[in-house]
Amino acid sequence: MALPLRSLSRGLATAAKGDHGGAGAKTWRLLSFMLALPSVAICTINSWLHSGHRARPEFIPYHHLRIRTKPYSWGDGNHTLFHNPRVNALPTGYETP
Amino acid sequence: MLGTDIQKPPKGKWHTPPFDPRFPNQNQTRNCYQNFLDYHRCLKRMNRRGKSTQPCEYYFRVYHSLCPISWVQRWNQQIKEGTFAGKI
Repeated sequence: MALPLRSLSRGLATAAKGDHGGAGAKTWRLLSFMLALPSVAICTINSWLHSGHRARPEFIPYHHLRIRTKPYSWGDGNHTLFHNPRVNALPTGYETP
Repeated sequence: MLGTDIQKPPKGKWHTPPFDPRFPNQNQTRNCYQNFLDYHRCLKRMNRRGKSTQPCEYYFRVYHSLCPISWVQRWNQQIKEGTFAGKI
Protein backbone atom coordinates (compact mmCIF):
# COMPACT_ATOMS: atom_id res chain seq x y z
CA MET A 1 0.00 0.00 0.00
CA ALA A 2 1.51 3.32 -0.97
CA LEU A 3 -0.57 5.49 1.35
CA PRO A 4 -0.79 4.68 5.09
CA LEU A 5 -4.50 5.27 5.01
CA ARG A 6 -5.34 3.55 8.28
CA SER A 7 -3.20 5.92 10.34
CA LEU A 8 -4.36 8.82 8.17
CA SER A 9 -8.04 8.16 8.88
CA ARG A 10 -7.33 7.57 12.55
CA GLY A 11 -5.64 10.98 12.63
CA LEU A 12 -8.66 12.59 10.94
CA ALA A 13 -11.07 10.98 13.40
CA THR A 14 -9.27 12.03 16.57
CA ALA A 15 -8.75 15.54 15.20
CA ALA A 16 -12.47 15.93 14.55
CA LYS A 17 -13.42 14.71 18.03
CA GLY A 18 -12.81 18.15 19.50
CA ASP A 19 -16.50 19.05 19.10
CA HIS A 20 -18.37 18.19 22.34
CA GLY A 21 -21.81 18.96 20.95
CA GLY A 22 -23.21 15.77 22.47
CA ALA A 23 -25.27 13.27 20.52
CA GLY A 24 -27.38 15.73 18.59
CA ALA A 25 -28.48 15.09 15.05
CA LYS A 26 -26.61 18.22 13.94
CA THR A 27 -23.32 16.76 15.18
CA TRP A 28 -23.77 13.49 13.38
CA ARG A 29 -24.88 15.18 10.17
CA LEU A 30 -21.77 17.30 10.32
CA LEU A 31 -19.59 14.27 10.95
CA SER A 32 -21.19 12.33 8.13
CA PHE A 33 -20.76 15.03 5.51
CA MET A 34 -17.48 16.54 6.67
CA LEU A 35 -15.68 13.40 7.81
CA ALA A 36 -17.17 10.15 6.60
CA LEU A 37 -17.97 11.06 3.00
CA PRO A 38 -14.61 12.78 2.35
CA SER A 39 -12.86 9.70 3.78
CA VAL A 40 -14.85 7.50 1.42
CA ALA A 41 -13.87 9.80 -1.44
CA ILE A 42 -10.18 9.65 -0.52
CA CYS A 43 -10.26 5.85 -0.27
CA THR A 44 -12.03 5.61 -3.62
CA ILE A 45 -9.38 7.79 -5.27
CA ASN A 46 -6.69 5.63 -3.68
CA SER A 47 -8.20 2.42 -5.07
CA TRP A 48 -8.60 3.88 -8.54
CA LEU A 49 -4.98 5.01 -8.49
CA HIS A 50 -3.85 1.50 -7.57
CA SER A 51 -6.11 -0.23 -10.06
CA GLY A 52 -5.21 -1.50 -13.48
CA HIS A 53 -4.23 -4.84 -14.94
CA ARG A 54 -1.32 -6.57 -13.28
CA ALA A 55 0.79 -9.38 -14.67
CA ARG A 56 -0.94 -12.59 -13.66
CA PRO A 57 1.10 -15.44 -12.17
CA GLU A 58 2.21 -18.17 -14.57
CA PHE A 59 0.15 -21.32 -14.44
CA ILE A 60 1.58 -24.33 -12.56
CA PRO A 61 -0.86 -27.28 -12.19
CA TYR A 62 -0.45 -27.68 -8.42
CA HIS A 63 -2.43 -30.58 -7.00
CA HIS A 64 -3.63 -28.68 -3.94
CA LEU A 65 -5.36 -26.01 -6.03
CA ARG A 66 -8.31 -26.10 -8.44
CA ILE A 67 -9.50 -29.35 -6.94
CA ARG A 68 -12.40 -31.07 -8.69
CA THR A 69 -13.54 -33.97 -6.57
CA LYS A 70 -17.06 -33.59 -7.94
CA PRO A 71 -18.31 -31.32 -10.74
CA TYR A 72 -20.01 -28.07 -9.72
CA SER A 73 -23.80 -28.12 -9.91
CA TRP A 74 -23.91 -25.19 -12.35
CA GLY A 75 -22.71 -24.50 -15.85
CA ASP A 76 -20.31 -27.08 -17.20
CA GLY A 77 -19.35 -28.18 -13.69
CA ASN A 78 -15.81 -26.94 -14.12
CA HIS A 79 -16.09 -23.17 -13.55
CA THR A 80 -16.37 -21.60 -10.10
CA LEU A 81 -19.41 -19.41 -9.47
CA PHE A 82 -17.58 -16.09 -9.96
CA HIS A 83 -15.04 -17.33 -12.47
CA ASN A 84 -12.98 -14.57 -14.08
CA PRO A 85 -11.34 -15.88 -17.27
CA ARG A 86 -8.55 -13.33 -17.11
CA VAL A 87 -7.21 -14.20 -13.66
CA ASN A 88 -8.83 -17.51 -12.71
CA ALA A 89 -7.35 -20.64 -14.20
CA LEU A 90 -9.11 -23.92 -14.79
CA PRO A 91 -7.40 -27.15 -13.65
CA THR A 92 -5.83 -27.35 -17.11
CA GLY A 93 -4.73 -23.74 -17.38
CA TYR A 94 -5.92 -20.24 -18.18
CA GLU A 95 -8.67 -19.96 -20.75
CA THR A 96 -7.61 -16.63 -22.24
CA PRO A 97 -3.98 -16.34 -23.41
CA MET B 1 15.86 -48.13 -3.82
CA LEU B 2 14.32 -45.35 -5.82
CA GLY B 3 17.49 -44.78 -7.77
CA THR B 4 19.79 -43.39 -5.07
CA ASP B 5 22.91 -45.33 -4.25
CA ILE B 6 23.12 -45.30 -0.47
CA GLN B 7 25.18 -47.67 1.61
CA LYS B 8 22.86 -50.05 3.38
CA PRO B 9 24.27 -50.77 6.87
CA PRO B 10 24.94 -54.44 7.69
CA LYS B 11 21.83 -56.34 8.70
CA GLY B 12 22.41 -56.35 12.44
CA LYS B 13 22.91 -52.59 12.59
CA TRP B 14 19.69 -51.10 11.19
CA HIS B 15 18.53 -48.19 13.31
CA THR B 16 15.16 -46.50 13.40
CA PRO B 17 15.12 -42.69 13.23
CA PRO B 18 16.19 -41.12 16.54
CA PHE B 19 13.84 -39.08 18.70
CA ASP B 20 13.32 -35.64 17.15
CA PRO B 21 12.23 -33.12 19.79
CA ARG B 22 10.63 -30.98 17.08
CA PHE B 23 8.00 -33.70 16.66
CA PRO B 24 7.42 -35.18 20.12
CA ASN B 25 3.86 -36.40 19.68
CA GLN B 26 2.16 -39.31 18.02
CA ASN B 27 1.49 -37.53 14.72
CA GLN B 28 4.72 -37.90 12.78
CA THR B 29 3.50 -36.70 9.40
CA ARG B 30 5.39 -33.40 9.64
CA ASN B 31 8.50 -35.32 10.66
CA CYS B 32 8.28 -37.37 7.48
CA TYR B 33 7.62 -34.32 5.31
CA GLN B 34 10.32 -32.23 6.95
CA ASN B 35 12.97 -34.88 6.38
CA PHE B 36 11.88 -35.32 2.80
CA LEU B 37 12.28 -31.58 2.26
CA ASP B 38 15.59 -31.50 4.13
CA TYR B 39 16.98 -34.33 2.01
CA HIS B 40 16.15 -32.56 -1.22
CA ARG B 41 17.34 -29.18 0.02
CA CYS B 42 20.59 -30.77 1.21
CA LEU B 43 21.02 -32.48 -2.16
CA LYS B 44 20.41 -29.28 -4.09
CA ARG B 45 22.85 -27.20 -2.07
CA MET B 46 25.59 -29.83 -1.97
CA ASN B 47 25.32 -30.25 -5.71
CA ARG B 48 25.43 -26.51 -6.22
CA ARG B 49 28.67 -26.31 -4.24
CA GLY B 50 30.07 -29.41 -5.93
CA LYS B 51 30.43 -31.27 -2.63
CA SER B 52 29.64 -34.89 -1.80
CA THR B 53 26.01 -35.56 -0.95
CA GLN B 54 26.92 -38.22 1.61
CA PRO B 55 25.73 -36.18 4.65
CA CYS B 56 22.29 -35.96 3.07
CA GLU B 57 21.85 -39.72 3.34
CA TYR B 58 20.77 -39.32 6.98
CA TYR B 59 17.64 -37.49 5.89
CA PHE B 60 17.06 -40.04 3.17
CA ARG B 61 17.09 -42.92 5.63
CA VAL B 62 14.85 -41.06 8.11
CA TYR B 63 12.15 -40.21 5.62
CA HIS B 64 12.29 -43.65 4.07
CA SER B 65 11.73 -45.08 7.52
CA LEU B 66 8.89 -42.76 8.46
CA CYS B 67 6.97 -41.98 5.28
CA PRO B 68 4.39 -44.18 3.60
CA ILE B 69 5.85 -45.26 0.25
CA SER B 70 2.82 -43.90 -1.62
CA TRP B 71 3.57 -40.40 -0.32
CA VAL B 72 7.22 -40.63 -1.36
CA GLN B 73 6.24 -41.85 -4.82
CA ARG B 74 3.62 -39.10 -5.18
CA TRP B 75 6.07 -36.39 -4.13
CA ASN B 76 8.81 -37.67 -6.42
CA GLN B 77 6.30 -37.73 -9.26
CA GLN B 78 5.33 -34.14 -8.49
CA ILE B 79 8.95 -33.04 -8.35
CA LYS B 80 9.52 -34.58 -11.76
CA GLU B 81 6.45 -32.82 -13.17
CA GLY B 82 7.35 -29.54 -11.49
CA THR B 83 4.16 -29.41 -9.43
CA PHE B 84 5.68 -30.12 -6.01
CA ALA B 85 4.32 -27.52 -3.60
CA GLY B 86 7.15 -27.53 -1.04
CA LYS B 87 10.08 -25.15 -1.04
CA ILE B 88 13.22 -26.97 -2.13
